[in-house]
Amino acid sequence: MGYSVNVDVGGTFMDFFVAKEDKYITTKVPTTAYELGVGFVRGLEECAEKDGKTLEQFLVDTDVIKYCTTIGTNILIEHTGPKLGLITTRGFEDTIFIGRGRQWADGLPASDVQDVTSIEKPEPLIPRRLVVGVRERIDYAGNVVMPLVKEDVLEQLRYLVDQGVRGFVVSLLWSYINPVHEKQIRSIIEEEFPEVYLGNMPIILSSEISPKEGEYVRTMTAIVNAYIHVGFVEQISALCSDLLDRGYKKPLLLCDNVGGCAKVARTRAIATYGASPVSGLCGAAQLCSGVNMPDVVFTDAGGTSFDIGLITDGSITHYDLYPTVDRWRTQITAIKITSIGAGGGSIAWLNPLLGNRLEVGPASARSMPGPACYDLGGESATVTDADVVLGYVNPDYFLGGKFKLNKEKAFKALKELGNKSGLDEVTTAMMIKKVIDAKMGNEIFKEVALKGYEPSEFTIFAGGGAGPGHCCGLAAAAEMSKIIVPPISSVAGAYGASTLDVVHSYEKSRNTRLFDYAKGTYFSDFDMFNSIVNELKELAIRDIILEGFKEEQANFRLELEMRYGMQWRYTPIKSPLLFIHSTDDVKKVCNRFTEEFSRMYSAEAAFPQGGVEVETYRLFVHLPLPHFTLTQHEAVGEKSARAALKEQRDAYWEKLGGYKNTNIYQWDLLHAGNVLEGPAVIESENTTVVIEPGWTFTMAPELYGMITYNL
Amino acid sequence: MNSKTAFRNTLKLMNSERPVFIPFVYGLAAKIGQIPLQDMVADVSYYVHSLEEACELFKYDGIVNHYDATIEAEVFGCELDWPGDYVTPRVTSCRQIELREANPEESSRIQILLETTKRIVMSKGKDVAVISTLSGPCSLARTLTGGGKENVENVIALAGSFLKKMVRSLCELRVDAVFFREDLLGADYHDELLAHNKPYTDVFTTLFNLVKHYNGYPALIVKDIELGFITDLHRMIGPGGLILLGRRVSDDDMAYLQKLSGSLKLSFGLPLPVENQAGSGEQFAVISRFVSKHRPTGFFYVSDGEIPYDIPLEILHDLAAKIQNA
Repeated sequence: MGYSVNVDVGGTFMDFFVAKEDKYITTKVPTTAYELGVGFVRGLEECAEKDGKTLEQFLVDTDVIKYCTTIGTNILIEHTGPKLGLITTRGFEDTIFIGRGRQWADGLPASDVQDVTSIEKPEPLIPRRLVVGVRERIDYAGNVVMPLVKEDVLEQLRYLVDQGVRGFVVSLLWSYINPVHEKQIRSIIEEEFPEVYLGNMPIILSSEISPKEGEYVRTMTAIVNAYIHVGFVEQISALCSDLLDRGYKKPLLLCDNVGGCAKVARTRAIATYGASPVSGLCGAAQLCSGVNMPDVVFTDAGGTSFDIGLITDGSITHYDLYPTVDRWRTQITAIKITSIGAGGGSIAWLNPLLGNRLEVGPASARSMPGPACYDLGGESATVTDADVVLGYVNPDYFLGGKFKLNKEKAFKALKELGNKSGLDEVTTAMMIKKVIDAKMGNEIFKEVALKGYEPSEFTIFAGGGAGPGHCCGLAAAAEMSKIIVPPISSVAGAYGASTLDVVHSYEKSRNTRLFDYAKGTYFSDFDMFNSIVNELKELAIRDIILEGFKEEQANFRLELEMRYGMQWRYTPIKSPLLFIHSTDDVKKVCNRFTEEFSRMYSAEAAFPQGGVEVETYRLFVHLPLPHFTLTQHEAVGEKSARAALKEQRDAYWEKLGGYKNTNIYQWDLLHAGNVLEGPAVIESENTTVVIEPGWTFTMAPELYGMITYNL
Repeated sequence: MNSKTAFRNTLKLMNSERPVFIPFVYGLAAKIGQIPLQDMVADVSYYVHSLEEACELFKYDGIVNHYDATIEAEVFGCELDWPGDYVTPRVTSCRQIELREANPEESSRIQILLETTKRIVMSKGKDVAVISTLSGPCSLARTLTGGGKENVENVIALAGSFLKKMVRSLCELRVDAVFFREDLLGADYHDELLAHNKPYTDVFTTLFNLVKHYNGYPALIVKDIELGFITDLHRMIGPGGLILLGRRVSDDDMAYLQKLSGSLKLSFGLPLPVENQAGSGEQFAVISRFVSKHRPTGFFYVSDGEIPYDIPLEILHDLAAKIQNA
């Protein structure tokens, strides 16, 4: 068995988790935002070196590489996508500019949304002059009311090409019901502007990217996908070719935001958006189910963002049906992750609108220039600088000592910030810690409580490089008392990628009334329901065969977006059946919807009097891959952790009134059964665990740390 | 193993094959390209063509994007003189300089240099190393102050800030290494560094961290320094590599440098005085005898300063071939 390499890109660090048989290697390298391939190869080199091999030998022995990339995010942030043209139904050219009622707030942090006077709509990815309308019309039932006129399309195309567009997005009314006109437009483009004339120009059809109702979101989904497509393909191709040159001849699998992975050729660019925290969440779910922890809040505090996801009853059930990608609302289905701008690189600043109150984030120093203590030219005080000043982070042992931090520069940055508000550097550092912990803790509390759960019944999974350092503080703010710190916590996303299977999802909108309350009748056109599922299944089978799998290896799962009649929002449910053949089957589906709806909103909220409808069919195909499982186990030994005591140094504890000489332990030397009473600090190669006074750390037999609050 | 990998392995102290050769070709490239140096550096196409052609002609292991210490001083307002068609320019006066934050975007020469580097990385960067040189902070500060004692710390900070921007711009183009030139100060470098130790150390640390962040290797070019100074130098500023111009090494020196290389994790560029055939042959013999016994690990050859444009080309040809076949 060869290596399974898993790579997760964050805003500040790229994480690597490499597994081979029952051993694993982890490493972190700074994110090279200017070209992710550079950091990717550097991380691989480090992993190879750790296993005593050259990169070339290492890659020859590698079976699979899974990659959670942020190429798409970078393209959107830097606005480096190509010039695109949008072809839509005539008369609807302004749809994307009108947007939704609160389009201006999409993708903004809460603090910016509150500052209404300074909010502006984002700059459109396609300017109005590059949006053209063509004469055509299809009605709500899919009937062609006005056929497409080829000459008209050609005229609009020539205009767009003369304007220099390098890609086309086609989004027509009701195309998700009948895509015939969108397909005709694609044929006309391919016929009129073949690759030999203008090179490869992507043609993205909304009916293929997002075959669901909702003009604005459907069009934006297609636009965002087209916008990141070209750069994405270029960078991934360059990386594949680089890996091939170095001896890796197997496919690169890209992780996506529905908790799966697929070959590059079978991955839509937009589906990779947000894949990293989703992978982490999937890894956490797998890990926690192995240690019998059903209700967990997954958190990943990296350098730039703080991500939260929920695991309830041991599974991931919360989806975001309209995720915001950068500043754009889309309708790709993605596992629900809440992100805020908070992490080790979050910059502390004084808010003049609130009487110079100290705030932290959402802006981050990222990997370049990074916190002041990275000594890469950054001068702003960040959370990591505060952690260094407070004595939690060891400047000589950051990333296992391969990255020396400059304590003096951390002090200088905090002093400059403190001078503006009349505080000394240590008080400023403590303020930063309290603000960031409260910010992260409040977000966790909201995330859990607003979904109808009791936060105190949940355990926090402390992931990310900065997570274990702030877990006690944020848990207190979230009113939670149990924290799990696994050995792979600092590379949670990369570990999560190793647990992913090949998953594809296919969806189609078609309004289907399963129960008509007025007539008291159940849906009887079973063939119609089954033909939609079959259509999706055929697409799935085509893709998995192209990926080299067989149909027998696949597991299919149907999800339905359902609602009671007259409701605005949909609720996704897992269908108990793939096909329906009788009224009893229809009743089973309706009952499942009522069960799920009642669980989420209470039984009183169920409203069958309005009828029960399906709006979107979503089929998942799931192909299991071999996985690495953390099967560490050790017999419980003595409580004392004396053998792991590394040194003592001063660390600041507010509850104890200042700096105290604190025991510093080495993670790798701890054994099952060891108990540490806070205050204490545990250092590992990639992270630092801070145990505050009043908290107790216990090393479990499975070699994960459990931190609990002493009641 | 191609030249690029061999060079990168050398700076990681892991080269187990032949030592690589990095000559400082600048005016000579202009001559090979049959275009005056001043015109070459004003036109990206000529510039790229000349550097690539020189590398193809002599088959050395790394292209150095320029070897001209005036480029940074010019941004601050120093005046230059271009003394001949292929002679590197020199600073004539810095009396009119403005002590202010300078940016690489202000200089068309720097923009051309960056574009040239970008194209070379794209066309040749997979096979040969692409290296950038920059004036070191001590040399640049000394040029700007003219050796005066006033305002030195401010000048060091401004020079450092400008060099940081240059390093970022160059490293984003994926150069393999940045060599900081402190050879201009010769043996005075030692005193200059010690005179303003703290501000220089701060600047150097950030510059080296930046290069490492971009997966490049930072090295320092020094001239005529005592080998005994290396340990102190490493303790103060911690470069990844040292290029010891002006040094003629003996077998004992090689043994000493090897010891330092292992203990300080430092690679060494050893100079071959190309224009002096006898001296070059002697130096080559000492070094090659040593590396054939101990493997090159962190040792590599450089030319002892810029290769004169009027050197008979056969000399360089023979030397490069000798190193290739070693």
